[in-house]
Amino acid sequence: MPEPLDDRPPRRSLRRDADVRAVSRMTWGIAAAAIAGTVVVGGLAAGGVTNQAAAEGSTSAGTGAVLASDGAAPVAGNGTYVAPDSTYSDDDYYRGDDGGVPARSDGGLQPPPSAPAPSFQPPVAASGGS
Amino acid sequence: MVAEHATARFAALGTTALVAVDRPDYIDLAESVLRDELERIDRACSRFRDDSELSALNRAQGREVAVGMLLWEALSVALRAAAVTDGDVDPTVGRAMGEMGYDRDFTLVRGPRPGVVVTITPVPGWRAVRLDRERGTVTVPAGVSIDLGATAKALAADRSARAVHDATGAGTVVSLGGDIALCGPAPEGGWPVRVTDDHSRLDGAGETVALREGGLATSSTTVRRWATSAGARHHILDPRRGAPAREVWRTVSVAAATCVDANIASTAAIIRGHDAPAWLSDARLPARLVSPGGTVVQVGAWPEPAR
Repeated sequence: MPEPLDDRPPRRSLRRDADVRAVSRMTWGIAAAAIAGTVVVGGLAAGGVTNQAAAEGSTSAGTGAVLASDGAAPVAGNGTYVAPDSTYSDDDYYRGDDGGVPARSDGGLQPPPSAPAPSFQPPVAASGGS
Repeated sequence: MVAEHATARFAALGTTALVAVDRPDYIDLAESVLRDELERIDRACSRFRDDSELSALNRAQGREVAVGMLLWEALSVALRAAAVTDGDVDPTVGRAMGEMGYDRDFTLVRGPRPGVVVTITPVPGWRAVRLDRERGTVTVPAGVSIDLGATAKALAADRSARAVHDATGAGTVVSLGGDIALCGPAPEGGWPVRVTDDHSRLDGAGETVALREGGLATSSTTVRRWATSAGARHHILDPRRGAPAREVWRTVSVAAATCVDANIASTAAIIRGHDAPAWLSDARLPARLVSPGGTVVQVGAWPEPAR
């Protein structure tokens, strides 16, 4: 049996995260929900969840993060790994028959939608070694 | 001047965290959201915290363990990085990094540590790590130590920029030690970002570019260096040699659709050395590479510097 790594109760930061999202939803109403819906649909569609289900989940994204803090990765009823709070889908990479060795290495690095442009403005941030 | 915006900066993840939003009234909320995201990523993915999920996984000695969503995501991203770079960016370098003396937060590594002896340790390879998506478990072979440093920080930047934008509705820039992610609308003319050797220097030698979306990451051998009995070491490890990458480029900056992809490419470019420009060009990634002597090579759609 797998050994749970983390059986701690939900962390305060996660509850605060949910609070922040709730405040945001109240503040921005439909507009914020539309933004979150777009984000969640985009993040989940490749993970085997229907867009309708994802859209419904979008209004409770913060709650999903809190519920998942028991440390266990959620597994959907069909056995497909689902990450409601996931930014990146691993759907294309971890289907190896041997239990997880990536079967594909395509879906390569994605160029930016628009290239950087020269700027004369004072910088807001710096990108450099850290 | 850049459109009205507000910026907050604080120390986190052993480096500097910065958030800028184009709605100044929301800067406190933006900072709060960023701090929460970084705390979560640190508790899940830090190699230097005994209480992190990653440290527990590294101590599991080959046992199959269930991990939380965030660590799962970070491991998935790290293994994808290895896959798309043919192993140049490999998360199983943890033990080799430790053997090089990078076994604690860098603020402690760069201090005086007499008697640190460096040994070269083979990197076991990313294919040794097993993710079982049906069981939601991870198995790391005994003796293998995962280091998510190359990609977890960029993942945190992408996640944080999105979370801040979701919470505030503002156009958002998040920078974590110079790994930059954008989300939401950009001001007219884009967000100006200085591209230089050291992320802490807004006036450092380099150039300023305007970004509208996606991410920008810079990898450099010039900043995170430390002294050992075998001479100076830097933190970008060539997995095939188990040693710091040869310094064909001192600094590489790459723009991509996400900060994660930019970070993967900039890290791999340092390791690939002379082959990096062609590889970046084939991937259609705008990039700026600086040799140890200061010669600048621009790749793809990277712009000419503003004069």
